[in-house]
Amino acid sequence: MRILCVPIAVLLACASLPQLAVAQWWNPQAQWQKPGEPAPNIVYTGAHIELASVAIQNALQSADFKKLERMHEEFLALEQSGGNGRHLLSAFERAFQSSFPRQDAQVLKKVFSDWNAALPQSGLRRAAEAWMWHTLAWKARGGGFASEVSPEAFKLFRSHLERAARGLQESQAPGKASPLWYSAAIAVAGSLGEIPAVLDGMFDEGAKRFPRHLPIYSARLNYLLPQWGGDYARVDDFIRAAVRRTQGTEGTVFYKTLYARVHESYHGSAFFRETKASWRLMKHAFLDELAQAPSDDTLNAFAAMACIAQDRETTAQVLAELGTRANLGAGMQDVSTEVCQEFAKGGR
Amino acid sequence: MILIAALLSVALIALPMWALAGDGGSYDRAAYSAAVGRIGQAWAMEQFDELERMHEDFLDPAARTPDGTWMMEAFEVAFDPVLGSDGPARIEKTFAAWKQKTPDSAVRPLLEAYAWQIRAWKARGMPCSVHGPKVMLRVFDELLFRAQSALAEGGARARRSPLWYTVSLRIAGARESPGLDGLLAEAEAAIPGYPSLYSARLEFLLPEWGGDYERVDRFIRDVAARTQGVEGKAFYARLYVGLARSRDCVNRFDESSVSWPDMKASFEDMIQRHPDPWNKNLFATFACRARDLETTRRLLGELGTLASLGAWSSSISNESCRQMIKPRSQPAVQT
Repeated sequence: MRILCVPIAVLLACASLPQLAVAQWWNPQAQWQKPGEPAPNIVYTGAHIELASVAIQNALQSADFKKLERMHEEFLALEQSGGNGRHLLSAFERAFQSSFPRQDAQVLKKVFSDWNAALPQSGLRRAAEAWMWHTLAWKARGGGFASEVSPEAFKLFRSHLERAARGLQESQAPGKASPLWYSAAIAVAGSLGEIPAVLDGMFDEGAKRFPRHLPIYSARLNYLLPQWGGDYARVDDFIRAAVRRTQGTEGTVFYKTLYARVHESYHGSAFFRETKASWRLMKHAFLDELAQAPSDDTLNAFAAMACIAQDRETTAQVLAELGTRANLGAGMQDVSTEVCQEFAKGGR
Repeated sequence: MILIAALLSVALIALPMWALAGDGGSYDRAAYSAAVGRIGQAWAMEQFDELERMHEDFLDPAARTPDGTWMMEAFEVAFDPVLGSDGPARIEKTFAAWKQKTPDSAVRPLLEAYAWQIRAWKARGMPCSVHGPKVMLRVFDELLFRAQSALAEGGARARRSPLWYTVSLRIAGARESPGLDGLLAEAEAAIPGYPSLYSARLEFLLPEWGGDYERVDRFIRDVAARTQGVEGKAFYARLYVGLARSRDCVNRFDESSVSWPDMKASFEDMIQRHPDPWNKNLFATFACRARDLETTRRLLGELGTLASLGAWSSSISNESCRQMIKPRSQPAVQT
């Protein structure tokens, strides 16, 4: 089950930025290192992105804007190098999406006003502020059907989104230096109901400049889903194009990552029949990811998807590799460890 | 492990060992939130003595916050997400370690039953349909059996806990046992007014279990009448708020037979007995949801800076409700 080729470009890029790739100054849980001691060899996984997201949330809470700027700068360099740690930058969007909805609007506005006073030229701040307005808009609207939304909530939704769009428009010069500007711009424009050509234009520009920044892809993908008037054929075309664009450094990993987003929004019981997802390609994508950055999270996601795809042999193999670490379907509604174990044993 | 550490570092920064809130031994909302965090942390760190002690403290029916929440509910709120996302091997290992450390614990089998019951519902998947794939239903049944065995292991001592009855009701309901109402009557006699007893029974009156909203409404009105002596009409609002909370794939609250005038009267009773901002915020949220301008305005005024509307209600927020009560500007009169 231990797999295959790590793309050559990844290895080369890893070698070219050794110190940056292992820099853990932002992580309070990183292993203590004596000055001059060789840095430990870290392979960044989803768990590290979560740790970085927590560090970002804590820095926002303590108004440590310099730390935020430095993390952004270093993570962006890692992303652009295409090496180990190239996905750490997505921790910013994760942090915004996780922490902003839980906070009071007045407190958030104060944070951004302080950030502006401290570092008025910051492009990161402008992108983050757009994410804040986007969050406040959705908080006002709620996630229910349009028919459940009051007229006042719709009005607030629209005015917050317009505020975000204005901020993005005014901050193009510094903002576009960060991929976070593009992910925010697509999310805001999509929520405002802009036509596909506008979203495609933003996406193409962003993905050309920052081809490895996953949240740009996720943001565009969202508005191709059926609940936004799209369909699974367009979703599939988009995901295949994303894989072609990123294959040099990512292998086919984007295939499974973007289809995982599609699965999150899917509420039926026949994912591989009702969407255009191909289990054969998804399996290949999981194997690519395990070759690059093996982790229990990926193995558990692999086993869960194999189980959903009714691939008994793969489910059994991956479950055997996980042993007592098997924990399938955390955060998913249609899969659990116990059911997949039973399925792997031959249950129907 | 890294992920667990990350979550703990953001949510549970150095929580102290559990202690009664305040010198007088009373609990407030902050103590309740701290208890939820502490239970999750004690579970993750295998601090079983702490869990036993907290459970013992919360058995006291007076262990409630000023808004009327039972401290024992902290176990449910803490365990539901943790046990739904921990793998079964980890759950088994933790309970095995607990059993080894305290073989005669009455709390361990109780929480073990609670855990397998949660895993059962997770295995069943598809919250809006009783009929999942056969393998899911078989595993669901096996895990419920496991939960029931753990309940039996706890013996009579475990019946002191409302959690025992909550799990029993969920198992009996899932098995469509005819003794469900008898079990609720027994539970009510043992621990009157514990909210999860009623919501556990109510679940099996919902359409996905062959019930309908008329039966749900009759049940809620019966419970409100039965608890009138202690809680006034408050249970009418409490149980309908619970319905708004459990929104898996349909908006049960909006589909139900809820009456705003009855809910308003129920909230008034609740506020009289438990005049806490938490309850007032709930009241204001549902008043805004019902577009009752006068009540929303009054409550927002009373809450002032403590206003925090929106619990379990999509598109309800301080901002949107303030917009709603704003006087409309008069159209200009043409002369």
